[in-house]
Amino acid sequence: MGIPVLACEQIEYTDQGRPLFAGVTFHLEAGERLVVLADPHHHGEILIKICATLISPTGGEISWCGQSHDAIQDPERYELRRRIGLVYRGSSLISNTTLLDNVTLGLQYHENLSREAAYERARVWLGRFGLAEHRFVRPADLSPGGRRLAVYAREFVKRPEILLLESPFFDLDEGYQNLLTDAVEEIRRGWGCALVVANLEPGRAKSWGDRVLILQDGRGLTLGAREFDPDPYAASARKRAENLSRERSTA
Amino acid sequence: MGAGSSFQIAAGVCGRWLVQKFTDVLDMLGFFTDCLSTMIRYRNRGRWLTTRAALQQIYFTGVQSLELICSIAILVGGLVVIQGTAQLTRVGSREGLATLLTAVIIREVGPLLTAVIVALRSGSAIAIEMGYMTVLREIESIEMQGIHPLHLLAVPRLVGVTVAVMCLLVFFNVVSIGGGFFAAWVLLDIPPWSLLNDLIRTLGGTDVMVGLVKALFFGVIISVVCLHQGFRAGEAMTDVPPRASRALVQCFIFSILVNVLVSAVFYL
Repeated sequence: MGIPVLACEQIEYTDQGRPLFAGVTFHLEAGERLVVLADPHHHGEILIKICATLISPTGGEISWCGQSHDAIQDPERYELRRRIGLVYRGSSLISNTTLLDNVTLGLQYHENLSREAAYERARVWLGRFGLAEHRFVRPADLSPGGRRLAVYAREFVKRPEILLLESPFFDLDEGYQNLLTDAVEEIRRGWGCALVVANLEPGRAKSWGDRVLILQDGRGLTLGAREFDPDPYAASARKRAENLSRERSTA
Repeated sequence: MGAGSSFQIAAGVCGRWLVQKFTDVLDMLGFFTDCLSTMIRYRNRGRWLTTRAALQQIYFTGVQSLELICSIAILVGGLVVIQGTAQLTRVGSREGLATLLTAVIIREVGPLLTAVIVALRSGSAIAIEMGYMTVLREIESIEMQGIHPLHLLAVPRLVGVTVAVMCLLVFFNVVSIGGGFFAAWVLLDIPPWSLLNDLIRTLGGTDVMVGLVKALFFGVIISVVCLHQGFRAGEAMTDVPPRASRALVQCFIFSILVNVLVSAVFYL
């Protein structure tokens, strides 16, 4: 067993003095998959952003391929982000830039490629997601699903070692969901990309993850995918949501 | 409440205001040094992208402003001649017209008006663009590609605006002087070649250099202030317009301050 691609030890996060979660621990090897079921959902988004180096945890330790969060300075942080793919609900494209420039931004910048050379490298993913013929349009001219797929294409083009997804099927219809599922599995098998998916439907957790991290009541509990039973989890999440809605309406 | 405590309260308010303003200035200086350090640290990355962005900025700020600069420059030149002649005739000396054109346009009005036009046109656009990119999390998307946003977004705009302001100043001065000559010829029957000889005698290397130094400072001020305010936008769309407005006010204040300082250094 080598150095984990992503290692979280007792991660905790506090927002404006209010503790959100604590005690989150997991290690991820290359090619492994972790599904995070968070209640409330935005805790899952926060955890994903911590793993993506966008937010610093308020406690605990996190490391990527042995590089500890505390030891990383800005230049190393930006290098590390080249190896991490991140797609969450708030992910966006640059609005005043064409689709091609958006998807190949990293290639054009780090490898000083021209547009044409960058397109050759990105051609596979643009074609696969049906975006090749739209590569010269601005994001505003695409459908929400098209924009979402373009964000995925942008992340896949850089061949990430760790892929972090939050609400992966947001804005995608069923056809595109299947396309995305196949694509994620392909890159995981293709270059051993480790996968963390947050806020997936509980029913899909077993097919998407080797392990399931349940983030509930401010604590994390990790189960093997086989041990995890989605039905009671989904029922308890629905009940909590109903209680919360009732409290808000009476308040 | 006694007079003493009222004074204390007033002093406290003034003191806190001064400290806040001083902190804002330090923040901006820190932002400027961050831009310079990323320009050096990442100089081998993204050359194609950053060069293209800088050229686009020069085109937007410089080339697309030529029409506006030209109109204002001609009018200002004519205005200086009209007012200058009225005042000089009163003291019985119209020979000082060339000196007046040099002192007013090349040393003071040219650089300041150029800065005002660029701030209104380009500075506001930069502050708004960066503000919306921050609010819409586009900056975050850039960071996740392993790209420092200052290097990709701020540095090309800083370079582009500064180069454009310096070029526009030269253009403004030439057109304004030309407009003044034309006004003198039409209104006062003073031939342009006579004024040109006077101007060449009056205009010194210091005047040209001071104008360019001012333009350099103004270009940096406009770009740094507007970029800084844009990057500091919060999470709501409604944060962006006040930031842009604040950026313009700060551009004007700092430009006038620097104008006075540079003139004092070179001409006193």
